[in-house]
Amino acid sequence: MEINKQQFIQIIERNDARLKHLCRVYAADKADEKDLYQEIIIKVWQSLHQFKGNAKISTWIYRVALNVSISYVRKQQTRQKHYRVYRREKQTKPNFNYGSDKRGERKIDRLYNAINQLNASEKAIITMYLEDFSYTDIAKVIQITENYVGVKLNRIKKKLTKIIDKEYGI
Amino acid sequence: MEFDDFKQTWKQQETPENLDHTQEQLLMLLNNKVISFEEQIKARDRREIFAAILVTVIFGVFFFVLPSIWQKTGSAIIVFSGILIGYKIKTAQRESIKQETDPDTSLRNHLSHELQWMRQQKRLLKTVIWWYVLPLVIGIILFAIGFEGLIFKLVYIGVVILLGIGVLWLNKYAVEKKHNPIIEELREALSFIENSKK
Repeated sequence: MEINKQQFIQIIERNDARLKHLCRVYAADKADEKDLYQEIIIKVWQSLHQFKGNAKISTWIYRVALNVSISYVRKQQTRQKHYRVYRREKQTKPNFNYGSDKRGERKIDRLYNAINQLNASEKAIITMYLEDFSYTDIAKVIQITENYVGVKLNRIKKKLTKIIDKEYGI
Repeated sequence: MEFDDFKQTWKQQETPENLDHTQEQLLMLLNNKVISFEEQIKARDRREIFAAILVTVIFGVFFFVLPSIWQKTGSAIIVFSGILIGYKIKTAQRESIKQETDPDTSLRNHLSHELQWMRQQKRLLKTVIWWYVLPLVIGIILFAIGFEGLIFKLVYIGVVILLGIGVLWLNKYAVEKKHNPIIEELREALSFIENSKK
């Protein structure tokens, strides 16, 4: 697909919020979030020629961004300075705290902390759902049937609610 | 918090300030003005291969120049180690590139490739004694036997053996504390999707 840099930036700007939310879901901290965002932009730009127009560009970008995020987390975990087993550690020590303590955390921080305790596939499904992607889009990106998107979503919703109830007693 | 609130909360969130990019900054990214994480990893691999070549060249010269048979044998083994280490790193790099999926593949495929890659890395670390520690330690010990002064020789050999044990321990630690949890995490994520296919 022939897109120049200016057009690409416009496309990114239209999908920017979704990408930034995704970075917050997968990154370990704010610095990581910024690196991951840059990584996604570069990879999407480099892979653009592979976009054949079979899906909406927004879905395609999200799919690339998801894959980049998962690889990024894995590479960071194997090589990095501040190693952590992210799922387990986050259960006791929420990662994103954006300047507030556990009691004072905003609803959105609680939600992110709960999502951080899910596995990579669960995170992908729930964030796509929260970003208003259709079941068809979610099914294509993950490679499961549409029916199972519903089944999985229900399971994830229950898990999330349980985590939030347990951690925040709400 | 009810689940219905989640979506509303999600939609109302503000964009993090640290991720605000101007059009110029985005252009800089596209023009490769920012070194990506991927590039940093490649640069590190290049440095490792360069170090292996350097060791090979230096001890290759020692092999011809030094008169002691111990040092000649030690140098030959170190040269062999350098080549072996370079080869292993290069092969791992090549495998890693081969295994890289299209970035726009499905999440299922991507997770499966990530898992495969991690298992390969784990195998590499688990066999580090054969392709890294043992050849290098044996080579250096033989090389040291050619030194003069018994005390110096013994201290030198002792330090080399301790370093070898340290490297082995670090790799074992990396497998147990880093690779195994990630493999487990990836396997769990993949099985979550694969169970849906049944």
